[in-house]
Amino acid sequence: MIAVGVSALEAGYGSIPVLFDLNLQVPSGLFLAVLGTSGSGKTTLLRALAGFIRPTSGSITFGDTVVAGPASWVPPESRRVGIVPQEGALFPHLDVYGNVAFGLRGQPRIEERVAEVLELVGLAGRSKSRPQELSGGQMQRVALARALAPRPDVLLLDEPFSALDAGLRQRVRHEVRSLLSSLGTTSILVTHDQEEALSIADRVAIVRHGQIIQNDTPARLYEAPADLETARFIGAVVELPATRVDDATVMSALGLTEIEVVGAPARDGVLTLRPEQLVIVDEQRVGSATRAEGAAGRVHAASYHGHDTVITVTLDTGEHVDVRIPGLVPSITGDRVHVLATGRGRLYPTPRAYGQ
Amino acid sequence: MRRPGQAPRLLIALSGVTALVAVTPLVYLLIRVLDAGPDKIASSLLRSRTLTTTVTSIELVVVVVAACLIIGVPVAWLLARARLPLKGLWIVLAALPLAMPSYVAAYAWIAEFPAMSGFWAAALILTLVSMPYVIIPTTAALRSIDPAMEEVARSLGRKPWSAFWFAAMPQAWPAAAAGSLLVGLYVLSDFGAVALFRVDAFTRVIYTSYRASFDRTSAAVLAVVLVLLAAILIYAERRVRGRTARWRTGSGSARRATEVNLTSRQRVMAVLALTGLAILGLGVPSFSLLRRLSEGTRRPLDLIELATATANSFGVSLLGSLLAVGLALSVGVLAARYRTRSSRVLEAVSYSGHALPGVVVGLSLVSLTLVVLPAMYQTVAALALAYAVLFLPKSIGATRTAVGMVPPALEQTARTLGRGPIRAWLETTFRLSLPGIAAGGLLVLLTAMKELPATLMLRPTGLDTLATELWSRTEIAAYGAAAPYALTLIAVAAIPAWLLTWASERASRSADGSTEAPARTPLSTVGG
Repeated sequence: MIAVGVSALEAGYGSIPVLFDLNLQVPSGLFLAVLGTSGSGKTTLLRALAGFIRPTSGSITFGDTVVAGPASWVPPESRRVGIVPQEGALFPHLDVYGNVAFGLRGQPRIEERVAEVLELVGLAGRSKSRPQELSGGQMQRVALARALAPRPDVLLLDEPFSALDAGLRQRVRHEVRSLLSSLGTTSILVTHDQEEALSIADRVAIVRHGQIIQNDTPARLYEAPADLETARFIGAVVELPATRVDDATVMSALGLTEIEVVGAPARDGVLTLRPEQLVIVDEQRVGSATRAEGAAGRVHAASYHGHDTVITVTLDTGEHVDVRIPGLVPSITGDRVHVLATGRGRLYPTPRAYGQ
Repeated sequence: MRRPGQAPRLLIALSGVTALVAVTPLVYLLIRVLDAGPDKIASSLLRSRTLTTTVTSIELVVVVVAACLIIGVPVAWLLARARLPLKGLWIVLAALPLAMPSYVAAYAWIAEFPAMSGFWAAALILTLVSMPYVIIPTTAALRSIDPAMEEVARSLGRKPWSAFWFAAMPQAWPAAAAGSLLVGLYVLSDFGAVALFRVDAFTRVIYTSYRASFDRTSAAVLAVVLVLLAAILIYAERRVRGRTARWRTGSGSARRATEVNLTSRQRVMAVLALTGLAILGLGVPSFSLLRRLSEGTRRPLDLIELATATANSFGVSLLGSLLAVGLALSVGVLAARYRTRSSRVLEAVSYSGHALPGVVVGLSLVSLTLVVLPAMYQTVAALALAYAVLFLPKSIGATRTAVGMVPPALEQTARTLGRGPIRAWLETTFRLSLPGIAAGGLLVLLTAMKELPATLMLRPTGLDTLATELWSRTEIAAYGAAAPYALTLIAVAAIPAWLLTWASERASRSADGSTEAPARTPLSTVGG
């Protein structure tokens, strides 16, 4: 178990830099997800950590060892890094045993170790299978076993679940998660899937334009995104123009809403709330006491997602807001309703191109 | 009403005719052999000449295949993985010898070094001419391997060379092995080089005993042994290729392999080696040819003779290719649309020509026309039939690919829009696959123009083609007079090679990662 440190890293392909002044600390034994859209630089970061590309400046340390820096370079084969590539990249000419044993050459008791790791990933007894005979989930497990067999200090996972279909993906990633936390291997997972990142990582680092924008626990990331773009990237978001009333309150179409104060702009901005922070009340049932609260509007559409229903309400002031309600909601399209905000929102500076 | 997935009766019937035509030369050969009776067969088989011929042919195959692998695989690595100046040029130069018929290359070397003769001379020429069969697929395979494989191997503690050798190269071996089996098939079927260098391999011995004409049975027995050996090579090649197909998991590689930087010393060595290969394979023949050509013009070149030979070659080959395309159509459609057991059998039988060297088809059709159809003996029709049988596999392959690329939904949609089955087929599938089918036909035409042994045996008396004119002039050492014919033949051969290299380069550039097409097209189409 060792910690990984990245400081002032600049890396790229040829003369095109992809990462700029990137800084990241991963404490020992932690499971970190690096989350970003395609082209954000997340895969480049992974390749730099593995040693497949050489940074142009900055440094990478594994524990006390500088593996890449101005004066030092440790090639991939000496880094003690395990990698689980996209789609597994199993060696097609070797069977499961050959794949897992590949990194154990010259070590004692290879057979025992292979059996042990296969047991660990739930594939005991499949050592004679060829990669082509395995399902997608099994291939990923073999890839994981192959990476874990030589007991790496750091495990890198490059979108390992993206090729699996939805149900399998969830199952495999939770199995992998619990396995890795029981082993305590420092792990870094690269993904573009925010749900995946939030659900399995101890911490999530958002990468955009080659830099780390925010590095936080999943809960903090969802509740307190560093900027509006991150808020939009991490789940659905309701945005309303708002005016500052005092330190902790803003006024918007939904009325007065409490906000978290950290980093909020001095005056006007964009109020963000998560759709599940909104509540719908039928207009007839709104008593005179609550009439002043919330905003009146008409239900424009409702879309059913199984675990919840998202209702789009057109407020009388013209804005559209999405409200997420658990379970199935009977059809209320066209009904007059009131929308109330619960909990605290966040205020961000108004982006330059806003309001279409 | 037929069950879904079952082919229409008419299509099966037409395919049956094609399969019958394709298998006729082989069947007739077997009949001839069996007619001779067990004693005659045994005595022919047990003659020391049969044994020495077999040994010579196998030795030639082993030597050429070994040379192609030893030289071809490192060259493929350079072309696929090393950063080299003028990369595109080296790739084209490495593929180009494929376009040169072996007897043209042999003629060119003999014209320059008249003392060249025997086993090692033939081995040299056949190696130079058939090496692209190893280089092209191995290069394509090395390029298509997911670079993640080697990266994973590095992470698992392997140094760069070890990662390449244990994680990447094993995936390219099947391509190299399949290529070397094709080389073996080429060497086994080749007539031109072994005949000009006077090596007593199967093809030459069969041809000379046919010419001696008193011993047709022993020629037929040798031909059967030759076909058997060819069939073994084809079977092995299919097996090896089938294994690579099964290796393709996932959606293929998204990235290209990264190129390796050589030291400047290594780069110089690499360029020198590639240059040397190009000089041997292309430079020497071209130089010799042009020198002989300039010499030949001291005597007046008979342009009319050259034009007549070209026209004859073109005419007979056109007939042959039309016949091949017509016969291939039903089988190609059947193979592309209906994967049933009967369709597979019909397709496999129609591919007989792949295992039949030109000498064998020639021998069988000569006997067949003499005995059964005297009206066809030494006629253009018999020759065209020989071309059709020999090159039917090319034509079926082209048709099958072209039809396979048209989505069946188009034809079905045409049916729902009121077209009958045949009109729907004509207006959609046939219309859209026509360019591909025509390209296949053109390829057969150009390949048939280079064909030598069957042409020598089957042509009508007095009908001279480019190949026979080059042959007869070389035999009497009239090297200067042969040069214009050699040059015309190279031009004919270079057209498809150039087109295909261009097309496959374009395809590999547009479809990064999907390497099937560039790996296969030049081989299955240019050679032969």
